[in-house]
Amino acid sequence: MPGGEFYRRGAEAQKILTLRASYYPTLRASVPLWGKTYSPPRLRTSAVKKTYSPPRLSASAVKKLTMVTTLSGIEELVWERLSLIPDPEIPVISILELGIVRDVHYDGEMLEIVITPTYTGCPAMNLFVAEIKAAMHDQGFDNLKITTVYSPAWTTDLIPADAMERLKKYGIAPPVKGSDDPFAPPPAIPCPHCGSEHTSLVSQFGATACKSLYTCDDCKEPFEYFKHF
Amino acid sequence: MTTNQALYQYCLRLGDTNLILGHRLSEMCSRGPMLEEDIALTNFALDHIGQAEALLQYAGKLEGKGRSEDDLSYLRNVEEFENFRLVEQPNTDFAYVIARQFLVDVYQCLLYQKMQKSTDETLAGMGSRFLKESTYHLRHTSGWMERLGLGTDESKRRIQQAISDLWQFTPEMLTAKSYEKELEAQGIIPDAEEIALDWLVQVVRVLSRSGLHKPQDVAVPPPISHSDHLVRMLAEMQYLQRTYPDARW
Repeated sequence: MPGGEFYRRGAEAQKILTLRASYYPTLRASVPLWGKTYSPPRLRTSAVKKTYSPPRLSASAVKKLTMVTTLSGIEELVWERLSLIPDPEIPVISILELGIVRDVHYDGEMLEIVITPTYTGCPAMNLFVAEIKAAMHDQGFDNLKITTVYSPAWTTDLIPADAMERLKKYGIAPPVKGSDDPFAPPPAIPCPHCGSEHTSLVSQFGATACKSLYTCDDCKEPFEYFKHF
Repeated sequence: MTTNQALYQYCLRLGDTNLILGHRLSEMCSRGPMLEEDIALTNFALDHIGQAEALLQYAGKLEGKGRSEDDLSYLRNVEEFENFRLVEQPNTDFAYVIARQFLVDVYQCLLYQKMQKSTDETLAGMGSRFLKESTYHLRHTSGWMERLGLGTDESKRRIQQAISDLWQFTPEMLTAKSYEKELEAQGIIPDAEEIALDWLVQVVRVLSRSGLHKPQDVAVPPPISHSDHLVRMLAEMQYLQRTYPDARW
């Protein structure tokens, strides 16, 4: 039952640890490089713990959770818990701010979470689903269904302004809405460091599929741009 | 043919095209002429395979026989594939990869742009999703058309050769199948003739900007059946599922 055992670990949680490890291979792998074995810098245990320990609800939310009995109240807390799951690629925004969760239904037995993919081939999508499952399992929802819908399509226009601001502080230029015409030239992307609009595209496709690489022609800093979708 | 059957065929046609193109592009992984290009082409592959997943999943639902997108991809024979023959053409050299991609990108941008207004909610949603991906592809490939066309004599010769060789496959892409007429009338799918006209305008615009010429339309279209290239590709793509049925990661 939700609200009962607060922090339960299970098979689902184990799965996500494995998935995380495969998703961040540099943290565990030693790779051969130019004839030598290259070991990535080790993170201090406390740092690893800080990065990987799942976020917890605040004490007041836990208190609320144990008292909530109505279905809509439980749905509300599910939303709150979802808002604590960070985007695996861009940890400064949550998956709720990213806008992939469309709906939450709870009928007393089964919890259904409706999501929409960011874009069709996003490799992080499986991780999103695993993170959601693990978080919900932690809250005691075992009967869980994740439904994927394509319509209406996901768009970066729904990312709230404060999350955009956080992106910028993090060093990633937030999405800029250009023309709807696919044959029109792309919009200018302001540099997240100095704000200049004199920037050049280095590579349309960057380290992750949702970002492009730019350099600023004024402050000369390279930066990533979160593509507008 | 009922509306559902026709729509199933249509989704299969678009889905297979994306699947086969995605697979062709994935063959470029670690073979790009430079790091950025390697990443770009494999990103394209990812987008196309993602689009194929959504379209084939929908096709399986319309068919109603419980076939998943994986069943449709891995367990059909070559003659059952509905993809455009353009996309199964091999990665002869970088100019062919770019030319093939450019011809498809213009088509897909126009198609998805119009598909957003489909009366079918799922198709409309996919249209607006895919359009954004294809817009990035088109920007990238039209940039390359210009660079290759206005680059050296050698690059110009090669890109012109690729466009001229692939041109014979474009009528098939631009011509609607007989079952599509009814769907067009109901506003479920975009009008193929409209797309064909816009496609030519956009393609010629980029070609002339790149100092290239539009090839002659061929009098005799190539045969309807799939080429040997597709047979080879499917042999590789389907090998694992055929040898070890239901194998999973």
